[in-house]
Amino acid sequence: MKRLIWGVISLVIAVVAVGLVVFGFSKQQYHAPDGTVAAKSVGMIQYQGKTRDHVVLTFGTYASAQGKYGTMLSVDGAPNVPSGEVHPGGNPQWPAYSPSNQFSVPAGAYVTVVWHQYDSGGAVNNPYFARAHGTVGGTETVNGKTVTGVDGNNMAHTFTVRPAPGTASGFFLSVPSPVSKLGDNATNTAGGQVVTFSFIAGAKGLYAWNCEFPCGLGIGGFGAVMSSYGYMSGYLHVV
Amino acid sequence: MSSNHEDIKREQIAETVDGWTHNGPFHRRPSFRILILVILFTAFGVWAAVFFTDKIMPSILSSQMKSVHDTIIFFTILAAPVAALVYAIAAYSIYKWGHGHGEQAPPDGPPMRENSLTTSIWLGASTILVVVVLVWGMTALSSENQGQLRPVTIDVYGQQWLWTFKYPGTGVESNQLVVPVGRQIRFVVTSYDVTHGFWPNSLGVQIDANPGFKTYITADPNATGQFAVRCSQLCGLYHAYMDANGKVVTPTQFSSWLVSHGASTTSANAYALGGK
Ligand SMILES: [Cu+2]
Ligand SMILES: [Cu+2]
Repeated sequence: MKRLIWGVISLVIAVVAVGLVVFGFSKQQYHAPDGTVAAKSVGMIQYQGKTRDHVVLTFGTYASAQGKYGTMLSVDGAPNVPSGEVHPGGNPQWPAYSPSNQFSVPAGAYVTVVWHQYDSGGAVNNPYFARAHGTVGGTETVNGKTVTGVDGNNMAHTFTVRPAPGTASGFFLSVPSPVSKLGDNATNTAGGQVVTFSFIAGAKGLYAWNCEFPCGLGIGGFGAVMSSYGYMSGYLHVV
Repeated sequence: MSSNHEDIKREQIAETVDGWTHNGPFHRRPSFRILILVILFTAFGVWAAVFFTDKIMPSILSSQMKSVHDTIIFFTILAAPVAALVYAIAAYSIYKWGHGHGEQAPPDGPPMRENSLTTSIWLGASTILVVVVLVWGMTALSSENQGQLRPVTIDVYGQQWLWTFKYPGTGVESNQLVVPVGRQIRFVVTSYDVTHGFWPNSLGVQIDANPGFKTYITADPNATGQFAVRCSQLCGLYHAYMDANGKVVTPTQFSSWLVSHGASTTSANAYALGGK
């Protein structure tokens, strides 16, 4: 009898523990982590008959995450100091997104991205990623000129975003950037190309982004920097 | 045989084990209670197999997925009595023959080395189960690749960490997998970098995407609906995000989807509706 009582008690404890875990997860609030760069609000915009928040997100891609080729410069020319520990370790010659690999935008907003691209590049393995997908109008601009893609043999990186698995939202964004004007002699400070594009942010949640240009080493160019979290990969927090 | 010798040993043990000798005449032997448990557990297993399989597996959108579901249900039913026997003996042993602190452990039972009936049933039943499972599995597997005249060919490219799909002859390339219902789909699968696993889950097929050469798999979608395309080979940093949207639509919807993605009406219709 005593044994039975203890059996029932342990069963109750187990059920309560599992219940608490499930309850905890269901109450979990979504937060973007520290060091996340938030898009700046610039007012409202009309798009497809709907008034939306208009926000601008600015980032750059640089030839060296650790300043080997000069200080990474932001859009307005000020030093672009990475916020948070997003590029720890690695090789000073590795390229990186900066000032962060964590970006946040409001759900449903009209997001305009300004991308300063300073890195070298080469030929992409899959031409699909030399074209813009999921942007407003299916286009991007390169130094002010509207295009549907870039030269797949002279491209640098892509900003490719997809939602967490299991969300059937269909959100997909992939935008390529051309190589630095200095080509293989790219630095962090000169020869930059300015890429802009707009997209409509999806529903609240975590979206993963990565670069689909094989800019690393090893098999398929996806080793080293591409396989080290934080340089060519991160998260877009839709809040 | 040495049955006489074993009976004496059993009795010696029985005296020391609570519940073996002190029950009424009908419940004298624990095997009876264990049998009741086995029947209960088996009934639960069969019920779970029949009612839960559809709820925990991806939906059925092709004849291949139907056979995957049937296989899971059938194998679970076959496994139910075996699992039930193990759990019944374990549960009964823990409840009845467990011993607390300070109590003496009961002596071990006699070995059953020479019980040829038990051995034969054990071996025979295992053999039959394994052969049935093998034949069923081989049959299900071989039915997956029977070609049909004029299937719809879709080129599948895996790369770290996305899927892209080409619809040959239409010029359409997408990160979405859209297939028409009622036609056989032939997937031509390859990878740009490392090995990935192409797994359109509700279509019930799966094949590796290897760099440098092509693999083929066919599916016969028989219902419209949404599904997910996952990567089933651990492939690096964002393997967990290597996921694409899939849809089974009517051939007419398929054709208009192709047109909305840049195909000409002629090529879309020829590709989506041809070969009827
Ligand atoms: Cu890159
Ligand atoms: Cu993969």
